[in-house]
Amino acid sequence: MGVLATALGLVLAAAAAGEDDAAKAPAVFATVELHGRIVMDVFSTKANVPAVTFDHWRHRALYTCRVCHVDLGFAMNAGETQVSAATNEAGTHCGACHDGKRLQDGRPIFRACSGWPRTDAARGCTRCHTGPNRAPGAAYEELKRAMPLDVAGYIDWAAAMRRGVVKPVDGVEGISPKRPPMKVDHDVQIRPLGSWMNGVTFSHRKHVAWISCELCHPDVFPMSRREQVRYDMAAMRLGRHCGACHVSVAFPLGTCQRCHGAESGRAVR
Amino acid sequence: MSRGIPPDRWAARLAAAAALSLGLLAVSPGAPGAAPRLAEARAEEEGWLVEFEAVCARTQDAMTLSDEELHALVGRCDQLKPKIEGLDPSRRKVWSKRLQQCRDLYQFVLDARVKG
Repeated sequence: MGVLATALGLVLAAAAAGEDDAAKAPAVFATVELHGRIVMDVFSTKANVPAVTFDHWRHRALYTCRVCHVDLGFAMNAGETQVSAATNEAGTHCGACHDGKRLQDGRPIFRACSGWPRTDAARGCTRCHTGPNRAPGAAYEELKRAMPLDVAGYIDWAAAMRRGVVKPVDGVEGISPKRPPMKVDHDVQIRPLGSWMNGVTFSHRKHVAWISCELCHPDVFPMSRREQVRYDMAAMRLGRHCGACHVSVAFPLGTCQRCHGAESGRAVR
Repeated sequence: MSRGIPPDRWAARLAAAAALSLGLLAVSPGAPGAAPRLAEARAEEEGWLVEFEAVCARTQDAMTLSDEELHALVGRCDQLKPKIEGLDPSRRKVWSKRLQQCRDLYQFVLDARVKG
């Protein structure tokens, strides 16, 4: 009874954290090597629960970015989503999939927040609420061994998808709308100014395999086709433009040749 | 009665039990009066979802839509907004963000055409 009361208290405390708390959200730490590990801690430590360490790599191998960042409403900026025990319990955010019913590889996906500690008696909340310093573990090394790597040694997710090493699901039943395929997939040529680097040919087609138009436009790329835009690598490092994904989750900016390479303009690599 | 409860108390208890039974029947899903109300609520619930899916499923081919179609989609997003704002807080967080993304994209395509 005491355990249940404590669990209920934690859930209610997490749910009770107000809107104002999002504004004071702690920084989200991303690690390039782990393809976008983030620490989610808008509500957790305030509710005396360790922060959630979320691994993009674990989820990206199974779902496209679109599923979470469009269909499930996960924001691209730290602290904006306001995921909480309450939203998970309501079947939104993590709870949309982590409901104890949806299947992954024939097994139910463990239920987030609700029912603790019954759903995972051995680990309880700590399955997600591990705190910020969790080691990546053997699962990451195992995944990386099976994946194609780029010249810098990072997982080449685009190649992995192309070769069928990963087959990420592109929707959640009952939540994702049925989308027609993107019809306009022209490439965008970006000329380097004052640089010895090769130009960049941005492929919409490659990106839309993972993401949707509304994820980038207008928030990340608010410009129209003929507007003169100066893409600044320093701004990208701060998370603007390409840096919204290519600082950590997608291959990092330091892997210059993947965008500025002579072959970057080819539609199919 | 055999335990000495007065007949008027029995009558009162019976009346209370009958009223309670009728009340339960009225709110139970199987009750004839409740079915239309639940069906209406469900239809209303599914209505905004159906509309949301119809409106936001066009983002992938927004570039191919005419100005008229885009204006119509923006208008439908605006009409949907109050319904989504009426949802419970958890769902409102998610669906209002999704709706805003759709609307912003359609408006972006319209604006981009003006700018060239």
